[in-house]
Amino acid sequence: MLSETANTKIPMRPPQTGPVSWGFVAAAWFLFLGLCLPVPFSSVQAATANDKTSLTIGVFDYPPLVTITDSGIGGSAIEDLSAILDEAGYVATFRAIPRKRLLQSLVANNVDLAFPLYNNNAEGITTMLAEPVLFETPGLCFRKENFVQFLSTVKHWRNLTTVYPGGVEPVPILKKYNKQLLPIYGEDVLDRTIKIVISGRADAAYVANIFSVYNLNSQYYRHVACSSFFGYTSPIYIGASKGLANGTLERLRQTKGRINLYSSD
Amino acid sequence: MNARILLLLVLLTGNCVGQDLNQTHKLSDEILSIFGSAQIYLFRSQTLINSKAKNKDQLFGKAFIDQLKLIHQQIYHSPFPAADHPIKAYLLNSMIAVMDDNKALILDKEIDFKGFIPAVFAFQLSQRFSNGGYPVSIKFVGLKDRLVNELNVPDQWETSTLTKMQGSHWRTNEGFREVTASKQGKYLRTLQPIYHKQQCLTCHGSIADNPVNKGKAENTWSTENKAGFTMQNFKLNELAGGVSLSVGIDIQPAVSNSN
Repeated sequence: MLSETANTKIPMRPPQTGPVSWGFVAAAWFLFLGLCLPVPFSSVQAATANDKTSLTIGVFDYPPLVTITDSGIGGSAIEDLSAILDEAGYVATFRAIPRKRLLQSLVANNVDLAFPLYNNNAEGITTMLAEPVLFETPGLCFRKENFVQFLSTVKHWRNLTTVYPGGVEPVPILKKYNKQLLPIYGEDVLDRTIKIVISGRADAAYVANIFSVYNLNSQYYRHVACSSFFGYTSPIYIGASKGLANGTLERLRQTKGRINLYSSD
Repeated sequence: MNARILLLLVLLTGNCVGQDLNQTHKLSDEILSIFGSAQIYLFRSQTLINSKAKNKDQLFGKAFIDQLKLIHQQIYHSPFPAADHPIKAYLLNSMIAVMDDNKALILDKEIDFKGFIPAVFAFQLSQRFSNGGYPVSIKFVGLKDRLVNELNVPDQWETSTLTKMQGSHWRTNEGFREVTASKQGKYLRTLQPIYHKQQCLTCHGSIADNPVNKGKAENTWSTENKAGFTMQNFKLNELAGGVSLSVGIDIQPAVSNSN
């Protein structure tokens, strides 16, 4: 059955101020002091020995689970991954990597773990947890009064003005039948896309994962409802580098945890 | 020491996934009865799902599985299968996860008809269950020329089995099962037929069965059901399609440790 941790809400750990960053700040600070000030060597050694081993996790912008902004890397998956690693006795260090280079970075052993990973069969990688951590389901979001329950009824959405976050590839059936597809670009692109629908400037929004928009904790829940495109669900994994020590991987696998799918917005 | 015992248990559980034909028969029966219980429960819960009721707890988590246990006893006259196999445990977890995925919709008070029907549950479950790394898949299949959802298209084996089932000599409710071989290995495949009951015809029957048309003049009748699909003109007890299950025999799963 579901693990106890499945629905546990982990307190937000801002990347700039959380233990992850502080560990590095402290280590760097001690190093600096060691070089510049006559600090006894034994005190530096003690501080290092108490530090946990750090694992680097490559991520790309995947709102709301992973959000990369000028102020740092955040999102519910970042909190969950930090908690999973912490429970296993490691410190998580997150590194933003372009989407197209994430798998390559994992294969090259430049990162220990990678999220989100779509391909679990690539050579030179494995997955941290054997089963997918979540399933991504694309779909359309509508204002509630215009909700379309079944997207297999193409006639109900083929003539709607539909916006989508630029950079996301819409499913083939949408591209085939909807001739009014408009990409939206810029910062906070998912948020802007949904707000265009809420304001009535578009009829529908295509999103790569409806559950991240349409959930009980979402800021959009009062305004929009989403339907899924059946048949396009993708399993999402946490990739692990083959260079990761077997013992480390085993410890991570034994740590029960999953990515909390639902936004805490 | 405890960690070693735990590791041993995990390894033993992992090894239990590859199994012989007898075990696969039993496992297939159990998966189908769990799946069948869920379908019946969701069918019976449509009023609750579409209501504005505050308490819908019995549709989620352990309470949902408890409801399936009651249905299973009623329908199959046997206790609900134990989650003593990784694939069964994964099926139950997947069912809970699908209900959780749809929680926002089920609890949405501003949407009267949610569209969360048994076929939708089955499709979403199939996507999760069949992509979990185990050598198993389950799906709804329709008759090739009468599909509502084109993704429910039957494969060659399913098409030929459904054709046999449409024949006049086929006994109603009798499933079909056989071992097939592919590049991946041997699979035990089962197709359990589904027939249209009276309540199915409100969406899949004739235009006259469409509740939207009740009390209206015949020349104003709508050919579209409340889900937006064209009425399919199925008759009572006519074959609708089936539940298709495929379970690997002696195939080690991609999943190395589980649950």
